[in-house]
Amino acid sequence: MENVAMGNEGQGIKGRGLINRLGATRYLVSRVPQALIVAGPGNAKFDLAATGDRPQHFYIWNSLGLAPSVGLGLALAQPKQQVIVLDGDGGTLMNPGALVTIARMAPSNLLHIVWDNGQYQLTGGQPTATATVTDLAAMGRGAGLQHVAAVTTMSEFEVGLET
Amino acid sequence: MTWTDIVFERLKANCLEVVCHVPDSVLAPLITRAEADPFFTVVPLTREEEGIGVLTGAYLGGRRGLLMMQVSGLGNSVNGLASLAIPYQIPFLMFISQRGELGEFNAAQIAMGRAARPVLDALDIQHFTLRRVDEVAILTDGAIKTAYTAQRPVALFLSTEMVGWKKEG
Repeated sequence: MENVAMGNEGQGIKGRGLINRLGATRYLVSRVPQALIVAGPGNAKFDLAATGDRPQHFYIWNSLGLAPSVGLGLALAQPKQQVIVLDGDGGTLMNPGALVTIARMAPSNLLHIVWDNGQYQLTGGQPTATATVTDLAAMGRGAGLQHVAAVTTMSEFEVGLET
Repeated sequence: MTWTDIVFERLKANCLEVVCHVPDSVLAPLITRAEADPFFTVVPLTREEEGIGVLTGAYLGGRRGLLMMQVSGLGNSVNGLASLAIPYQIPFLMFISQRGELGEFNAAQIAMGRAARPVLDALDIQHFTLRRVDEVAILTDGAIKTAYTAQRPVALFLSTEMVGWKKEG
């Protein structure tokens, strides 16, 4: 796995078997229990904590946009460890330059998962740009990430993790 | 030795391996040398605040580093410092090329250049200034030592008194 960004939570196909973020987080932790996981300051951190706190987890409380940058630094420092970033669409849109920097550094041990629900959920559900005009997977490809998959169902998510 | 030679040597001696940067003409020779040396992992950023995140992750992974930038980049990094580096107690060196002070030609550089130290003071981040080549080694060593003792970033300014100021045009 390298440089994979995944949009999900059903952009464009609302109401049809959307990925449950907490369920997917639980699946991820059980599937790759040895991975180091960095969670961004939206609901990603709460879901990760809800799977059970472990020393491999790092929760970002108030630095919107910096989760992928922290993941990059960790991946470069520990090249033999699998590093996973859990972030949201708000965080990705706050710091799209992180996609560019990750693409340039191209660490082979970094998986960047973006829970894209098209909204700033913690502040009241205001729509983000992905709810209407912006395609995060296209941004990732445009930044130069080598492997990008946009998934909308749990089975696609599971397949994406194995890629 | 030039200030560049001395800083390069001190970075290696203090094991600051991860070099995050946004290019700057004064810092360019240092960045070029780091890129040519496999001791360093050089991370070119799109925006300086990314470097706060990268250095936080590197520190979690057991590696030390620095953020090289022009003083305007400090302005771009403020919330990363306040919300990540300080509360999570992440030490690193910020090596900052000063603009907006002695010899500045660009009016757009003045305000951030002047605000830099008050901003750092407000965050309780210690800062030191390189003004003479014969002080570069001790101030660089000392700033790095203090950062890792305090578990907090420390800033080192590169003054135009020492490196000269950018020529207009």
